[in-house]
Amino acid sequence: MENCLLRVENLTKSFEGTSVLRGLSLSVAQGEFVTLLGPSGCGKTTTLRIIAGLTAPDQGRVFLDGRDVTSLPPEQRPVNTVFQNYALFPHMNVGRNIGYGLRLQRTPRGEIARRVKEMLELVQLPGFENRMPQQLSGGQRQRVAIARAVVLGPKVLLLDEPLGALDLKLRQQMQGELKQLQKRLGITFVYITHDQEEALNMSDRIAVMNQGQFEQVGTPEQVYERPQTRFVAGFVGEGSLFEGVVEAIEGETVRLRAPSGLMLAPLRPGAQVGQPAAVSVHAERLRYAAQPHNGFHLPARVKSHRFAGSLLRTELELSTGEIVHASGLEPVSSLPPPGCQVYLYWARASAALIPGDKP
Amino acid sequence: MKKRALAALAPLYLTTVTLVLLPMLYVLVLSLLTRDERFGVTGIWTLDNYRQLFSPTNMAIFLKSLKVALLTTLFTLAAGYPFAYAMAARPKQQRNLLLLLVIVPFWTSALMRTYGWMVLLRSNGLLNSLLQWTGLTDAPIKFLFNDGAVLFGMVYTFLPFMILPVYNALEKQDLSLREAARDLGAGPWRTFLTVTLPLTLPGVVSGFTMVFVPSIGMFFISDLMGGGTDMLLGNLINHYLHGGRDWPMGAALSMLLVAMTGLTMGLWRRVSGGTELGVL
Amino acid sequence: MKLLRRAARLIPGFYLLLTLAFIYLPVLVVIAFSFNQQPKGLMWTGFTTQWYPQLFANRQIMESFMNSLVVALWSCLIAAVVGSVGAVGLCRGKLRGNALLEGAATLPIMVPEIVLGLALMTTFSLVGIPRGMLTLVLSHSAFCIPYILLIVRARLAGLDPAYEEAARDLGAGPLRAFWDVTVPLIAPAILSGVLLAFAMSLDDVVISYYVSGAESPTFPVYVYSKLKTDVPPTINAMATVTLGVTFLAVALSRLINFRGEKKEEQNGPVPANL
Repeated sequence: MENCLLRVENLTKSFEGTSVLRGLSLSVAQGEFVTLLGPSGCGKTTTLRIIAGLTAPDQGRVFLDGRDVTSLPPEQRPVNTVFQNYALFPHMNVGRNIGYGLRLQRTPRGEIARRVKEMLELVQLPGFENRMPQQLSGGQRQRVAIARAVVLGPKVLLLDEPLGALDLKLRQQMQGELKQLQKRLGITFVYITHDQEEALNMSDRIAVMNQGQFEQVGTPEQVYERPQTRFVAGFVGEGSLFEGVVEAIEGETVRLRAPSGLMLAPLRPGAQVGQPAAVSVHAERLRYAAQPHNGFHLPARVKSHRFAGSLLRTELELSTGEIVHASGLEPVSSLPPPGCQVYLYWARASAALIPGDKP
Repeated sequence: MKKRALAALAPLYLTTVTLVLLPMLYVLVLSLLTRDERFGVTGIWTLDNYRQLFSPTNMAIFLKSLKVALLTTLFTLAAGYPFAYAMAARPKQQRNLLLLLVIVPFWTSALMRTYGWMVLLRSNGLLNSLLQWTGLTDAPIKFLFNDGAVLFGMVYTFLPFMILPVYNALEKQDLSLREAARDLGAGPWRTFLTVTLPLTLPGVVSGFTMVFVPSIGMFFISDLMGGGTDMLLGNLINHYLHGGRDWPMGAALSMLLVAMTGLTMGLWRRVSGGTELGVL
Repeated sequence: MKLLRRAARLIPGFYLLLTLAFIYLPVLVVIAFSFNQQPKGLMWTGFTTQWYPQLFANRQIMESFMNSLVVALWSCLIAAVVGSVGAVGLCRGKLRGNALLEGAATLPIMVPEIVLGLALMTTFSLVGIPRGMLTLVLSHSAFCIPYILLIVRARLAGLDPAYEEAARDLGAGPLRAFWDVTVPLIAPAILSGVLLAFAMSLDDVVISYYVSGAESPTFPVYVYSKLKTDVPPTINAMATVTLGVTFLAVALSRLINFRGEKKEEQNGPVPANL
């Protein structure tokens, strides 16, 4: 990739015999907002720590601006981290926390004071220089942590689930602020979260991780609309997975037969007649009618409707006993009641085909 | 990283080996040698000292020390557990103050505090003066210089050693466990016996260890409160070291003490996982 | 019936007070009698402060007190350095011998004092070091180190490694990060341990009894020997001074500990780094 600022190559790491990273590779461009998305334990924090220099990989390399920094200690890398619980030095006030890195660089005192002030205004905490971390709220501490990392002008900013400890409203607000900050400063962000909504919201690209490997790397749309593995399909967005065997390929459409019935999906490279595949359908795309529709034959029984504020969630049971999920905006009164027999279908383009067998 | 850790550990290694391990080893060696009248010890190996350990007089003293230590432990438990329980039930600020009040004497001057009791309890001491003055007694009661006095002095000195670990265990306990028991129908006594007490057992065992181990080796309390006539293990060792100049014998007795300590600590480790002393 | 129940609820409180009174009674008696005209314990014959100047004028007593102070200061210094550095070494380097080393290093406060006293006395004799200030300092260091080691170790264990990592991330080398971040955060623990060790050293009877020379007893050893022979009138004043100093040291030590714990609470729970 051109304009590649950060590159990790074949990162491998084991802890006490357990393999945590299995040959990860990724390139990040200058000014990009990349998110490592995955469940707890998938290795995303370890990856971040390797980039920061706090952990050494067993194998693999880290390149920054073309330079191999794998053996460089953290203090020599132009990379800064916003830690998960902020790690604000408890014995220093806000001003000294933010100014710490500058002091290490022997910046003159006046200059430090000026830049600290600038930073505090940037994160909307003007005048907070003399407060102690213990006196700040979670959101405020987080901003100070960001200011402390950003003031040094790093090439890459690493953020380890920075919004995890905040409540919902604050989290949503901070997501917007972080994104704005990133655009304004033009710094490359590598962001970690297990919250897929957060990732979809903020990122230029998302790297979905599972058990030490990238399942898929792509834009939010790509990852959401065209998942490449069953894991990604299951992790990102709410939906259901229909397993079946490819029966026929007709133009851009693939027809699959499953124990539960017949269904259609858009063509994807790798699809072969006679081979197993899965179809991923997000809940909001799953539709049902009184009669089989448009080449589909997927009988199901409505199990329940549940009110969830902005959506109505519906559970349906297939003939095989599997449960699938649909969601919609219609009021419950207009929907077939529980116990009703319906037939599922979806717009062919709004599903994703995942060729291959179940792992 | 490893190098730096090793460098940091070097002084500790040095002091531990020279001031702890080697001297303790030397005690073991001493216990297997023979005494010499003038210089303390000759180079003749023998098991005589250990054989002498089992002599009737020595055994009697050992058993007595055991008895005193056990009684001390039991009494401190009997007096200390309710104290710790009452303390843990207090609101937070009071608890901290109480903790401070208990800890401070715990860590200071057993000698001076024992002396204080002597002032109070001796024949012309405060208590006797008070009793006679109010006419409750005609002649001074001999509070001191008997077994009871020694036990009393021991219990007094070691009481905080029992209170603290028990308090720590009680304080950490999840109150909702007790509430659950009450909710399920257990009365206050039942709750205590079946929920609170078993869960604070590690604390009790800690306290037991912290009282029992020093108790068997104590000598100046029995010396002062007991008048120096009756001998406990500590006095016996002291006698061999200073009076009788029989270092090997003293060493053998010390090894006995060490064995007792080891047994008790081993027991403690078994029961409570041996993680915290709960005192520091 | 209700009255009984209300009375019953007051029992724990009373028990607390009673026991505390019991614990402090001899202390109060000693302090009171240090101001008594007739200190040898009959009755209160009148208030006087004469014993204190007499105490400070007595050369023997003051010398022994100075000895105690000097020994305590030296031992605490050695213990502070060896103990803190050792605690850091134990915490940072996950070497296999660590558990054993820690166990051995804390042995002095686990075994009965008389055993340690005997061990040190006989070893000094073997090696040929005459009993005196040197043996005292060495011996006191032996039992002071564990206090500091344990307290600093505990503090380090509860310290979030993210602090030092953040310092490294911001450009500090390993030693610099340690000095800027970890040392200030364990300083209260070191201080607390030193105060405690100081009190323990000042108070020590048993070990000092065995390793001190005839010409340089420590204060407690002097008092102990006097208690058994002839009790001087200044004894209560002596005891009061000792109690005062050690009480103060220990109280300060605990207060520092309390403040440290409060700070931890305010900072939020210690996170789990995954």
